[in-house]
Amino acid sequence: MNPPSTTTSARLAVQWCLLHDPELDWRFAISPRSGRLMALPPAFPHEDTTLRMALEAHGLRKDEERQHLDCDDSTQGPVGEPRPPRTRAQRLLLQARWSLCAALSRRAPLRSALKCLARLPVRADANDCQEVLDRVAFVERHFHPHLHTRQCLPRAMLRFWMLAPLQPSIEFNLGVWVPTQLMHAWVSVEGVPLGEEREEVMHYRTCVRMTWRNDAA
Amino acid sequence: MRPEPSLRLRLTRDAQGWRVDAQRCDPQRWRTLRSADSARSVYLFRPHDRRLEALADAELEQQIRAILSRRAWPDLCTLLEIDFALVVLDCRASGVLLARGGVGRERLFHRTGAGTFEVESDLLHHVDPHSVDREAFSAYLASAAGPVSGDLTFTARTVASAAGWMRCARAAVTEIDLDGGTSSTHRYTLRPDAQLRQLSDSDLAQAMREAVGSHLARRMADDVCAVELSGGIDSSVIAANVAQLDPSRCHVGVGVVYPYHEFRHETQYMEDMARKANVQRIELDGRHHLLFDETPTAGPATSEPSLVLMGRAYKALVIDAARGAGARVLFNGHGGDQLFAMSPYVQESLVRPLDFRLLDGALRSEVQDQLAQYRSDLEQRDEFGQRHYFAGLLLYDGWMEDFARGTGLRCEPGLLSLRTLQLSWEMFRRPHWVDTGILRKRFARWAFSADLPESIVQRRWKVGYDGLYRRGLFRNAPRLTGLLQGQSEHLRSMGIRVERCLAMLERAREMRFDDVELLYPILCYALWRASLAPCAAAVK
Repeated sequence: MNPPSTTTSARLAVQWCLLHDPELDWRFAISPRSGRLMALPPAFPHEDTTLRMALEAHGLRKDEERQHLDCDDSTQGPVGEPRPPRTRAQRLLLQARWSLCAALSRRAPLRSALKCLARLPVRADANDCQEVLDRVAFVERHFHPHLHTRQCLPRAMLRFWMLAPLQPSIEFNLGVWVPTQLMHAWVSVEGVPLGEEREEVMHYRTCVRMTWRNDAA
Repeated sequence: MRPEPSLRLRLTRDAQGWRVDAQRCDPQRWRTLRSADSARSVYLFRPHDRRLEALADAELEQQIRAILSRRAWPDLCTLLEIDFALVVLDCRASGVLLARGGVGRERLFHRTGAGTFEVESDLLHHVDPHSVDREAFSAYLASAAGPVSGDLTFTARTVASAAGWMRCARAAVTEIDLDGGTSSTHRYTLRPDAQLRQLSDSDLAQAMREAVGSHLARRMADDVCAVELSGGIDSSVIAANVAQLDPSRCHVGVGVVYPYHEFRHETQYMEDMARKANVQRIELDGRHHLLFDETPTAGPATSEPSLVLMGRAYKALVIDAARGAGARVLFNGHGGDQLFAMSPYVQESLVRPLDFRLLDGALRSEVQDQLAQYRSDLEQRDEFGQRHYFAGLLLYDGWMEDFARGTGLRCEPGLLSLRTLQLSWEMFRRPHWVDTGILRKRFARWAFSADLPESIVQRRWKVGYDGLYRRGLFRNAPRLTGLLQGQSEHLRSMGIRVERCLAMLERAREMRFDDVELLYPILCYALWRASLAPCAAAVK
């Protein structure tokens, strides 16, 4: 018998912060709606109201909380190994999920995409966190065998989707490596990254965190 | 005043044949050997090798002569190791032999005139920054495309070639017949050692440990040694070995730290290593010593433009700290990537793609031709399946030597030797040690795990330095813009699209890393010309 599908009753809380680099004197924010990076030059007026208005123009909602966001990358967490699912049906399902996440990451507003994913039913074919990471690693290598073609956004979205029913809360993070303006997406639990290479995630400062609290878990 | 080259030889021909009529040789850098009948002189740049120092002049001269008579160039490399320069004058046979090791730290130039022949280790006196050889310039730009310097196929060219000067190739021997006026160049290559295939992984690791130890033992000073401690695997291996080889002294680990987010854990790694190896750690703030940052002292000018010019501030910082600690040798981890992370058997190109929009059509074609030659020459495979780049021992040129010159400090690559290269090739032949994707240097972590702190063994790779490059470029963009504007006429005449370079500097923040790649050698060229200006004024 197949395990039952899971549904959740939950909400997506958004926290954001403004990154300031005193040396370069620029400020950086990421729009929670679009997931795009906004670089604010030194000439930009930095009063809180002006800033908030500018960010609201890029999709920030009034109730979304501005606060300092920490990321605890002091230890290397488990990193997914590409172990294949047990059955062909599971493999096909996994590929379909990846395709959906990839499509959403390109087409849909980020916040809406995450809400949509978290509400979609998930067949519980992975029972713990490590298994989810392994499954995602497998499907990622299937679609992107070469490292330089891999994309963190669909990977983090699929992890978010598959981990949401298993965790009381799961966080989706977007961060920026300030001097290079490179961005990275990853999932975390209480600020601790999951399935990330420590040396990769440590480059990025968290700029937006969307937390899915799973009341049903 | 431009500094004198450390070696300058001039031969003239008279009725009795060829004779040396002018000679300048810095005994700190060159060892001179003469045959018993004084017909043959050997000048050897390798005065800091304990094994060679232990050999008497006569014995060393005899060994070199035996190798030369058999024309066994690999044996020459075996005797003198990987970074040497050698000049052999044989006035009786009217022959000159010039050779350089794979690292080729000391450059060698030669020029033939009417009844004269000259050899110099540096051409600073002859370089006119207003008249630079176009082909040498395009070769220099092409050398920015990969971990190769322009030596392999373009060694003949130099910025002073208008005056007839030719540069000696690295990892090659140039034979010159003074009477016939002919010369021939033989490249020598290091072959993989087939016997290593018999070794188990454990034995291979043991052999690597011994090779690194014996290499460092040859190069260490009988005094305090300094190590550039970065928190990564390469420098940590060197620090551990140096401390083990000479535990009676308190050696120094010079660690540059940055107050930037991604570097926040590096200090801990350095501390762990310094504690484990029992070396004294000197912590330096690198914030004001990024790429293109200015240094209080101008430093010596170099005879050729080089990409290392952009890191002069960092190097000056490290060298000053090592000297201040009383060290006579400063080991760095250069070559560690080639040893532990760059497989000679994979298919990926060594040559990076460049954004050629900064060059006008003619120069662009020249650079692309040079790159095509690089590819055909470096990426072919020998009978063992290795690309020529590796088999030819071709590594970076220049490095830190120019910056430490005259300070009494030697800057030495602490890992590179013939044996470590052969062992590394055997390691890469074993599929389970080859990293796919991110380079983790797993073999090095495993082989040296007993010497390293747990934190360094466990870390997967080291932080990227792209952010430091960016910051350096952002910060210095206004100064560099002024530099390019001041030399715009000359740069245009060389084929550089100055306006595009200036526009790129103005938008340096928005540039992708790959886009700026070709801007770096152009900026270094402008810096190099600017560094020659005080010398030119003094000469005038």
